[in-house]
Amino acid sequence: MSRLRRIIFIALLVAQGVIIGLIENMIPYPFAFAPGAKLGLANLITIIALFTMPKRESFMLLWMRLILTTLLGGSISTFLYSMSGALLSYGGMLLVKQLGPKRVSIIGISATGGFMHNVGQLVTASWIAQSWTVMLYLPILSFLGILSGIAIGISANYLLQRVDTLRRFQTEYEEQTHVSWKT
Amino acid sequence: MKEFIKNSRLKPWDGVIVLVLIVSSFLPIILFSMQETAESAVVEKRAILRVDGEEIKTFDLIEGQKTFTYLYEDEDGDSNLIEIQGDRIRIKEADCGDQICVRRGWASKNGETIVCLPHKLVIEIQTADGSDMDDLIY
Repeated sequence: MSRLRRIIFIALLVAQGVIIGLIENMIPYPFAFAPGAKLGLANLITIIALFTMPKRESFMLLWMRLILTTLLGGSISTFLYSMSGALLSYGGMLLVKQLGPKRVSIIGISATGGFMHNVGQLVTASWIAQSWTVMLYLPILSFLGILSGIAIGISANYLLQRVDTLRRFQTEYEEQTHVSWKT
Repeated sequence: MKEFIKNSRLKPWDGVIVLVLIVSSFLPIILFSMQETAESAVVEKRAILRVDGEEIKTFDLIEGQKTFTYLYEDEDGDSNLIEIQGDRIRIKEADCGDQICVRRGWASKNGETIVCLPHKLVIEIQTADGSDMDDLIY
């Protein structure tokens, strides 16, 4: 597949990620129950990127999505939160993905992503608040994070199975890496 | 439902991963509670030696520590020999006139003081969390 196609593919994914992120920002989070809890829908894009393109490109995609979302509807503090969450979840998902297709599926990977996202956010929050007690929110947040991670994993499964374009990119990527996630 | 599970292509480690994640989300709580118990076991207790209102020295009062003495002498030749044994403190010898400070004996509770008026010397015990303060007062 040509380089141009790849670039357009990345651009489309970034655009979708930004839109999803902006829409997600509009959903008010249940402050009384779990302050700062987010669904992390934009994680869907990161997962799809993980399965359809090399690490270098998915990392670039992550940063582009972060920066654009911040520019379009965020502030420095939201940037810090989403950056730490996104980077940590990206790293965690890469690690879990190393276990290989025989052991884990997309669902396990995205559950890790959702969990690590919360960890990252809370680490930033406790750094800003200069107190580690913020980390005590983790069980409440990660409960939601793991649940939404599982849901996102299921939807990523369906997307990768049904959407032709994604399947083509995935096939191509798997031919390069010789690891097949399709069963 | 079965078809759904098949479609989602769950792998054996997925359940393990989710379980590990759930368990590790409680890690901060466990860590914090452990830290708290460790801290409460060591109540920081100090004895502050003041002469004429000026802080001269502080002694850490830790249970089980070795007994040691500290000799305080000022320019006029007034001297007090202070002994720290475990978590308590006393004035062992003094060359003051009334010897009240020596007879006062051991002090170990928060807020207790040993006073040697002729030398303007005060030893006060302070705990970091203010425990031992809730002694009943009738």
